[in-house]
Amino acid sequence: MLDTRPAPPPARGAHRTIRPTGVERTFAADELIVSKTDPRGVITYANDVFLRVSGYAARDVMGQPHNLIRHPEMPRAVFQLLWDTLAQGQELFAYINNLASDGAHYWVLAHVTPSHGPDGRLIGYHSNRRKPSPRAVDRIRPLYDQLLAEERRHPTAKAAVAASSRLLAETIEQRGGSYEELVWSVISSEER
Amino acid sequence: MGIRGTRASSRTDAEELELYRAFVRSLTDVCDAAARGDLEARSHLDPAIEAVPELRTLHDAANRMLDVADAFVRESSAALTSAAEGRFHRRLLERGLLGAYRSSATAINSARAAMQETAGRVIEAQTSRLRMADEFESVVLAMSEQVATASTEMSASASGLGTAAAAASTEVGTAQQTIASLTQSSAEIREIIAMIDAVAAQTRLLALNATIEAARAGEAGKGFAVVASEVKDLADQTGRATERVTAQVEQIRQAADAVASGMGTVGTTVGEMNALVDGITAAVDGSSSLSPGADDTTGLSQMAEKLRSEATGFLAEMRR
Repeated sequence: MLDTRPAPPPARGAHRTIRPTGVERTFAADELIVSKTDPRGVITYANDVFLRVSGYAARDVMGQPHNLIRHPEMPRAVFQLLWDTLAQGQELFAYINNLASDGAHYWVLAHVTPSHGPDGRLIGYHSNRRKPSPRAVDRIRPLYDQLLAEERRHPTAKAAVAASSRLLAETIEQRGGSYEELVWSVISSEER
Repeated sequence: MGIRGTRASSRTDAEELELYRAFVRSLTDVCDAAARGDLEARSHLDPAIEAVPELRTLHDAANRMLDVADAFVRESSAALTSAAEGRFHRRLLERGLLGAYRSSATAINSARAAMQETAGRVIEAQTSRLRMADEFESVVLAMSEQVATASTEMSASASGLGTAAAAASTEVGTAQQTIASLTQSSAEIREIIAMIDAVAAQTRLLALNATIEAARAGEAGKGFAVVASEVKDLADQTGRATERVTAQVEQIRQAADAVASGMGTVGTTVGEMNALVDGITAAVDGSSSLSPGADDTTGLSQMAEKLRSEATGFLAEMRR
């Protein structure tokens, strides 16, 4: 079920126990969700679309770790790849399912880049997200389900992320390209 | 209405004017930073301003303006960097970009497509050049291989031919010696026959004298006359036999002369053949194979080798 209304205001201090409701929220195709973090991943900026879709007030997100909106059904391997790619100074495009403060979820096509100061030093990360096409999400979801199933077979987060990262690398290798090429093959065929 | 009512009742006009001025100052700083190219700059809300709807709206609008400029700069430069590195799958996503940003994104994507097409043509040209090099290589290698094989065979044939010609020369020499000794024998036979002829003539003369002497002896010489006649017949028979032998020997001499002249022609031909074989050997193996140290004429097998090495150098150049 699609719910395009703004999320209701969250109960303060309750983000850690949000349970997904299965309700899908979406946003307009001409909107960009934007946020910035410091080099540790702590949110330093979130735009109005971010706040409206996630259902948080600015004061609820500022100074919070970005995994505040992490959905439990997102494989950790994807975030591992995100941070590995950013650590190399590279950009990354990824389909990501986010969790709003009221338990609704919203899929985004995220573009994440490192931000550099005038002296070239890393000052943080920037992410803008677009509304993905539902067919693109359908294409990417089976891979995420596979990665998640692999992660759930391991007792510790560390073992889980190692195993699913391996599986992701193998899957990419089998398709004969890079993760970037995999994402762009989905974008090129489904995001028109 | 409720917020507006609260604001109206909780602040004096002077307080609200100060709030506006503070926000204008802070937004001016953000705009200045953005004008200097610092696209990290954003307006930040403090709770007092958040309560003023007009300021809240202005804050959001200013940040949206910066967000889209920031996103466009990040993505367009990354898209062009990717295209320059040959990663043409990385487009500039037009979704979420409006107006001039979108037209600019479209223009950048067209430029990227043109770059991709050019790169494709360059790759195609490179591929066809490499394919040509491969074809050329296989032709040249096959050709030089064939030439090398042919020259090896020709060299072997020439060598075999040379050996055969030398053997023929020897045989012709031997045959010429045989004929010479045959001619010599014929001459000796003629001498012997001349001697026999002389003896026969002398015998006939003796027989004639004996006949005359027998006639003069009368009856007593009759028996002797018979013997003398027999002797004369024998001498006549001998003379006829030597005539036939002489004719036979003459025939043998003529035949031997004909064979000798034939053998001379064969000898000349074999000699000419030797010169031709030398020519072939020089063409195939080079002139130094015949007279070491002389000015070298390149042989066919060396030429095949040279062709192969020249072609290899050319191909290396072509494949760069």
